[in-house]
Amino acid sequence: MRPGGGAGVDVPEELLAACRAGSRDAFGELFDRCKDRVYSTALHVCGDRAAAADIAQEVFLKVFARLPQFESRSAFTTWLYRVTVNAAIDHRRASRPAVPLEDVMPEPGTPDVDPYVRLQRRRRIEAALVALPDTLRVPVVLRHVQGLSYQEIASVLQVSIGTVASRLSRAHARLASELRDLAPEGS
Amino acid sequence: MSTGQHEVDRLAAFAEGELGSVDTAAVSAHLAVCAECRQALADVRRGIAFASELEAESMPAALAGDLRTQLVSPASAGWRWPAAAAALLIITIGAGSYWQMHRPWAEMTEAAAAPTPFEAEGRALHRALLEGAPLDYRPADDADAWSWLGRQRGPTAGLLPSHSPDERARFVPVGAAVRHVGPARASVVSYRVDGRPVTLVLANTRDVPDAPAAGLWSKRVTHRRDPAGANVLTWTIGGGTYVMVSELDGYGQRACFVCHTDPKFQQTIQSLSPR
Repeated sequence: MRPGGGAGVDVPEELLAACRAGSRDAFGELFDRCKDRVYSTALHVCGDRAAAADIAQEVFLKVFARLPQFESRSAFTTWLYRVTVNAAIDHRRASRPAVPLEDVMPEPGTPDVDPYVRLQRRRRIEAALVALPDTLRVPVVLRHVQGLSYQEIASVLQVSIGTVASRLSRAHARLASELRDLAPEGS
Repeated sequence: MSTGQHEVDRLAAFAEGELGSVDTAAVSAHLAVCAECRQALADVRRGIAFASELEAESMPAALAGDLRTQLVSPASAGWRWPAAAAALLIITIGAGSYWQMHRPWAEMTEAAAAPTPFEAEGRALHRALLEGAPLDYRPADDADAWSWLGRQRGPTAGLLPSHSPDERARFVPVGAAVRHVGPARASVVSYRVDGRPVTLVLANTRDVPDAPAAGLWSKRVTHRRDPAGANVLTWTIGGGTYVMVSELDGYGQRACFVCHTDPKFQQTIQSLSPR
């Protein structure tokens, strides 16, 4: 699953207004719209499913408490990503063993694709991502998992676009080096 | 022309079309005369290709339901936030942080209920293999076994690539097969640990009636000693349901090689005992 381009959390102004007014139904809808973005960002930044669950809980409690401070939709979505990224980095620094993943690949997409090989390939790429320092890993997650633009990433991380570009260049070069024995898909 | 750090810093933006026309022209002009930067651009493009294979994941339904109930329950209807919510936030984050640091990542309980048909079938498969039932494939190593199972459209489990040479000497694959276990198409892996036979049966949870529940926060493993004296461990995680039958001592937890090859996991596994 890959989200569409842009900051992408589709949060209408009216929904935020209803949340600010204390509507439980509105907050439930906000949760439904944002939960996958929050969970997936946390998962890829910290590399741990159990921690991603904890982070998602922490993020939504923060959102619940601080939503009245956000007047505009753009400020909210940027802040949502920022809170998620910061919480994920904090959890990662706690450095405890993750619950080992035992993903099951039920069916191959096509008969000639070995699902085990595909899973191993994904694991290699995820491991290379997790091995990057926070400053390089987070822009990759926001760009390639969440589909944010350079400008949007710069807003989330509160850095310049030039810094985002520089970090992504270094991150991609590191990934290419780490995965040099792996051919890019389709090559 | 020497490699300009300025141009290197802009290569990802260049490759992804995020530069304006003036900057794009400047980088293009530099690339035309700088072989070093052309190589750097090729590396960046490879990195982008790998990053593009990363996949977003939806929040698991069980977790989403649990969080939604917690956050939007009728019990919170009378709240006047942000004060009450902020208080809850502080308490929850504090308690959650403590718990996060101390929670077990795996828990074992002694089976209280009768075996499910899937567990019973797993035990029967183990017995049959001990008595010489044939397997479909003789793998060269564990990766080869899972790769073969994948090609047969059997469910396959991911392995963390951290087998040490010592572990590889302990875990010796014997064979693999795909069998129908009730309505499920199951992968069967037979191997030996420290010379003793182990059978691992894996199926997609959706195909397993009465599959054990996956732990939300920790891996939940159930132990049972079968009448023949074998240790039977069952668990559900990541969309798969597993039965592992072994002739090992203790609770048989040392037989698990699917993902627990990292020393920090082994230490926990070896200390597991049923509550």
